[in-house]
Amino acid sequence: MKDYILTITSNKQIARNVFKTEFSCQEQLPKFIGGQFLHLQVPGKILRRPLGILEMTAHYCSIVYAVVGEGTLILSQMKEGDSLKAIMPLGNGFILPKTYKKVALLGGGLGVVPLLPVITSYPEIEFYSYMGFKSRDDVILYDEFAKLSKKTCFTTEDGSFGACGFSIDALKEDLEKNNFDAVLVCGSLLMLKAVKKANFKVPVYVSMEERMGCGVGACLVCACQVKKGDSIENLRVCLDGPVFMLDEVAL
Amino acid sequence: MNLSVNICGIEFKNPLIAASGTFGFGREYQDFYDVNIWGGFCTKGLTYEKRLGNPTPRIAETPMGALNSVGLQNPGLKDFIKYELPYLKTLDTVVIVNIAGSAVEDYCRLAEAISDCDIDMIELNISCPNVKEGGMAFGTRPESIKNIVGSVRKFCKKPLIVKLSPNVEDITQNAKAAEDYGADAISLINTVSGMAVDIYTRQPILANTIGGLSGPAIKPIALKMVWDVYNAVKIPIIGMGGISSAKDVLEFMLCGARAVQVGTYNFMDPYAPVTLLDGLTKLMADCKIQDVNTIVGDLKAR
Repeated sequence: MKDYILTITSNKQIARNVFKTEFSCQEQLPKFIGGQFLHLQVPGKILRRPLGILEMTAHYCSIVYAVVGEGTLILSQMKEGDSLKAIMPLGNGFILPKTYKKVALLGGGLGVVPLLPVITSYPEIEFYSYMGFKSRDDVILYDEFAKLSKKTCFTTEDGSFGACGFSIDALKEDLEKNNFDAVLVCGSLLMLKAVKKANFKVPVYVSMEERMGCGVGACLVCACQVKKGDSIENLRVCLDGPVFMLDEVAL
Repeated sequence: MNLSVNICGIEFKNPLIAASGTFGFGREYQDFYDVNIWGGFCTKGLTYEKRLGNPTPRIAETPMGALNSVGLQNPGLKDFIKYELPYLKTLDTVVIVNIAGSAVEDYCRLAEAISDCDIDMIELNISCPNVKEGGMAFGTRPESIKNIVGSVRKFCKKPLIVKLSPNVEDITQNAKAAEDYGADAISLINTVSGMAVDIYTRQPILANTIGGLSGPAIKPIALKMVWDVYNAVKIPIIGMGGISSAKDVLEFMLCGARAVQVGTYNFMDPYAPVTLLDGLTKLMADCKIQDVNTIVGDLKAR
């Protein structure tokens, strides 16, 4: 792990309240697996912001985030050439067995971001993408998923883009006919609970989100309760996660 | 240039100590730098039995500060000895084990057990604002401080640091009570009790409603309390509260701290001790300070 100095090369609004920021880095960045994140220092703020990485190569990375508070607002207003620091890449990411051939991706809102790079992390796997948004104005990364996925199904709750409804329902319809080896999920807590209730008969990986302090496992702020036998343990979203197996997470 | 300090006969290579709760049990920052660079480090608060801590969210950002309510999540004594102690023994820095409990008896049996371990000092956490039972309740009044420090002293065979809460009427009375009943040193301040509110959900941001405020926002409070306590007791003081620069370190030492603990700054800069030591060396040279010990309590009264 390292604290890298990133320089903004582009900072653009790509949907309602959603921005994409691209960075260059003089130092060589390490290898990255989809699902990992960076811990970004925003000027004038005490705590860093954990944000999912969209893409990362040797001297480049990008993030997509929603403006939800002061930190992300400051970030969205930063200009090309501005520098900031980030500890990266953090967390385990979606680590998949080599035996997987066909995997479904289930995303909701900003949760689609860490799922896209999973596709490029595993070129030998066929990915089927089911991504849900509230409305057309919120839709992000459609072209990217369409380009990389075997099948792409985008849904909106109001039907203004793609199919009308929830992405989980679109996935449910396909679960029977497709022999998925696993389902990877990233979305709201409500979505994760719906997935748990749906009780898919395949391994389900979930990316958990939690407010963080250090980002490296020292402060124990970002606890995720998991079942270990008969007892409950707290794992750290930043270091032991953010990806966990759904059946072990206490939701 | 001398940066080493001595507290209760324990030699610290420099006055920087990683504060409890911000540095785990010492492993997490070893990818960034050699953790032995610290003068010392204070472990995450340890209780006799394992604790899961409070529900999430456990942290919120506030103006120049961070509000947390972790609630003493820790593995408990048995797992500490099994999994953490072997690593701590390999370190070439002063190891301070921070202990907490729900009852005086918990503190006593923990202090006794930890005294038999290969560690350097014990810090008595009687000031955690984030747990309902124990924590701050033990450390807000001189009478309860006398009781707990006096009791623990009988079982503690290591130098005993008592960590004080700022959430009190008169911190000097509490410091004197700790000194009178067997504390070898005092550390202050623990976090300041506070709240953060989300106007959209109309809820407190922290699941626990209240939390402990740390970071630069509390530095002036901490400096004042260190100065007050320095003028009230004879035992050494370890100062903390929002230290995020070499200048802050010197300010605390001028107010009477013989060493300082660094907490929230670890989250701001993962290379915290490296940055601070580098800055401290340069600042001491600028201020023509040859020995860091010479400035302790050297605040010129107006």
